[in-house]
Amino acid sequence: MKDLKYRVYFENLLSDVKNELVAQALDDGKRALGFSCYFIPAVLLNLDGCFSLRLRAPGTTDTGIATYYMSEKTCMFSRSILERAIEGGYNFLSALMGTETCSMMNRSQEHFEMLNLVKDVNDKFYVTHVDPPFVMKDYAFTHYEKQLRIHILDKLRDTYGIDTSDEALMKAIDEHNEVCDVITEIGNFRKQENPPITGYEFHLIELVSEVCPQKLILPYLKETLEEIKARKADEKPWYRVRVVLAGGENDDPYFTKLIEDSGAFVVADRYCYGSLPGRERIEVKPGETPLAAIARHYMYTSQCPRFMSQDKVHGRKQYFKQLAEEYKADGLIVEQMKFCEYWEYERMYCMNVMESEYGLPCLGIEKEYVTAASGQLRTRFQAFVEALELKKIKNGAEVK
Amino acid sequence: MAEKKQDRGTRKRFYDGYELAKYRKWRGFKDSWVDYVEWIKDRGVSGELIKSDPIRAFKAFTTYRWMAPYLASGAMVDRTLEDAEGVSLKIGHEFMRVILKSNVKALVKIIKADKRFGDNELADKMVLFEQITSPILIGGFPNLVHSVQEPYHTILPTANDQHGGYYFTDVIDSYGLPSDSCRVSSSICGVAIDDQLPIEGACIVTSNAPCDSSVMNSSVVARRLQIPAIEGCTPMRWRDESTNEYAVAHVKEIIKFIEDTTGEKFDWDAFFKVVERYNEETRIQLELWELAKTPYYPVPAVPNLLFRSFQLSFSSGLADEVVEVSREMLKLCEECYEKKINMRPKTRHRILVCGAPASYYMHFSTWMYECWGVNTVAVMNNLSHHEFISTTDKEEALLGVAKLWEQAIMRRHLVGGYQNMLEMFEEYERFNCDMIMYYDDITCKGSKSMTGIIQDTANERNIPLMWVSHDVIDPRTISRNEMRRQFNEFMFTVMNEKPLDESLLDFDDSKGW
Repeated sequence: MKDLKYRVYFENLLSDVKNELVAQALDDGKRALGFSCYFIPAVLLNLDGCFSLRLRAPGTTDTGIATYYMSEKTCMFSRSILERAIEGGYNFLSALMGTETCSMMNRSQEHFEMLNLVKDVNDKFYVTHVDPPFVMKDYAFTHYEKQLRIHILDKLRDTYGIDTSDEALMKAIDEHNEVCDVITEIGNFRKQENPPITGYEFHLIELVSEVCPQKLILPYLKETLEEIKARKADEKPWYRVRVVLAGGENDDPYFTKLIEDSGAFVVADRYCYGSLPGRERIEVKPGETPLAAIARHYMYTSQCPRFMSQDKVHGRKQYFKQLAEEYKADGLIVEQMKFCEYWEYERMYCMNVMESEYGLPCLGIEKEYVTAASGQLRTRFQAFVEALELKKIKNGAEVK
Repeated sequence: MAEKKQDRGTRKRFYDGYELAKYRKWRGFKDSWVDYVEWIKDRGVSGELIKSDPIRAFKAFTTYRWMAPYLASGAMVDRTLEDAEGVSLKIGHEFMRVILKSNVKALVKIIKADKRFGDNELADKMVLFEQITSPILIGGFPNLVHSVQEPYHTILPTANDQHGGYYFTDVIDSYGLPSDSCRVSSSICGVAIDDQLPIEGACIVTSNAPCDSSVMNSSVVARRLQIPAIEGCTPMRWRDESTNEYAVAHVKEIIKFIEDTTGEKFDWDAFFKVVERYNEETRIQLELWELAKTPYYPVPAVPNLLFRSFQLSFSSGLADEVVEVSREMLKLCEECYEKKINMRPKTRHRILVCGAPASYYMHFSTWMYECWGVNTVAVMNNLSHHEFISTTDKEEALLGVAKLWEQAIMRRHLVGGYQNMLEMFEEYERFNCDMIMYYDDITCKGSKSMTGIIQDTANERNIPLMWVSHDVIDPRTISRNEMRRQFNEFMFTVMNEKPLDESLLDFDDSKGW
């Protein structure tokens, strides 16, 4: 296939946290609001006067100082964010919206406070912590909504004078939905037998939509959508098998590329920073306030293993299966950042039940934030691809 | 040939490599007699485990791998009282006997209710509480019984026999869980996967305490038990008052769940009686802490730690004997204070101990005192929830229950904000300490990710802070001797001191209980 017009541009945007679009928004007087967890609804950070920025630490090589603070036995993503912050890489942020969801990420965010980071260049900078619930109950929705109101909206209004009225929220929802529609439409091409897009390209597109000011990236996304619509796929599909990629934090498109280089097309991205879930439209029901709709939306769509209720526990596996059917996947790869306890358990669970109970072959991978040891990973992916092919042969299917 | 260090001093009465003593410690005629009589009494208490239902007990011992270590409970009590004498010995024995009695009762209950050994009514009247969730709510259901899961299958067996728990971590490792995951949480999953959970209970209240891994292991346990389950998941940011409403609603939901699954009705009067007892336990504890700030506090370090943990996580007003014994022991402590009797004469340093201790080396503080004269006067885990719960206002009482869960052992300091971890420096001052030891559980992400700040704060305040790494229930990773080596190194190099008893510096007890 011919390269996407903006592929290199998107790659460049992802090579720096403060990329040119972020810099442009800052120059326009917009406030950058950092966050990392799905439990912080990005839509709330995209009110007029500010923009959301999902934290990454591209190009991380060494986390020496962060390792001193957080030890080497903690999630490298959390340490990389801290390292970048200590280096001054997030000094342009106006606030950091934290959550007490994963303990290590939460600690990383708390280090912003403990070490007084960013404050010396912006004395209004603050870190706030939302306490998301673990269960799906009416009182849990109320609690979550209240948390979002107190920790996000009220603080933005009081500190930076951001308009957090229902009208402003409705406008933000509309703009958010517009981005979601474009991303979803692009993502749907992955369902095709011979799609005009690769998993790697989609990963780039989804990521730039997370780490760039929404309004500034939207024109590029729209143009890319039109380009993909008109794009001619290769005569034969390039992949050998199709897989759903699930797991914890993953903001590394090269990880997706590594899988695809092994012959497995990543058709669905069910991981933190992915689009499934994340790019569904937010619907405001009649009589519902915009904030309540947002809280409901994020609680319902979240597939985070932190949810303890059994319906969510089983629902997560069901969701994998549903994605596999919808995107015609042959298998599931569950990746887990080393030391991430949520996904350690989820990966273990999936490896033991996905094939036997849901008929979906599963490969579990433990990885670091920086994809080192790609040789070993590639070997495992290749073995998985071959295993899936063998399974297909046994089932009488034609192998590409 | 030069005499080995172990041939003299305290260590000489033990066989090398083992915890097995050649003879009981000679403490002088009176103390030795007291110790021996108490030891006999303890054997009588332990015998109840068999006597109550010999057939079921036999079946339990031959079915469950985690049962066997309880046979070593006598040795465990001995280990915890190695450094005690006079009043200290008496208090230590009394505290340990309460724990022993209650544990025997709990085990008897577990065995009797186990449907694996035959149908019974008790099983359907039992409400299980997972992890370290206080069972205080069961006080409102006088017709039901409770059982705290997990500690009896993993932590306590390891405390009795250092080799008693890691089999289950091996099981879960081979099932695919990385071994860097919290060993406390993962070991109970190993028990579940190995089909070593008793088959009992009308329902289970799972728990999100204290951390991420305990959130995750709950679903494994609930799935294996195949009984109705509800998630006991109170808010993490427990200091944030905006979370209280949700916390109370959730406690109400749990009460309703127990009512629905058992058909019992919550009895507020009965509940308030248990809460009153809990408050009395707390009041006595607060008084004991006041005394612990002085040099005249006679409670030996390990019984002090274990009794408080037991009171908070297992009793919470439900075990009758706790208040009674606590009152008596408080009197003895007050006498020591009034008469200015120092029962810890070897004390050279007063140390605050933080972090989760190694289950396989619960008596580490005993060694610290015997070898170096380092007296453990406060343990951060013990300084968990210590608020009074309302006995008149229902909403306030439920909030109190939520707070008790939110501030459970380990959870109070591990979650809810970094300030909770740094409380240790306030407690350090309050208890007049001159050293801090941090039990560095190598799988505890919540505390590992605070190491730099803790160290920096200690440095700024010129506080000697040492880290002693361990692997909670697996002595194969970091042995007891390795833990001692870390401690010795700090004492030699940073504190520039010499040990009181050289025979205890370096010895092998890897094969012992």
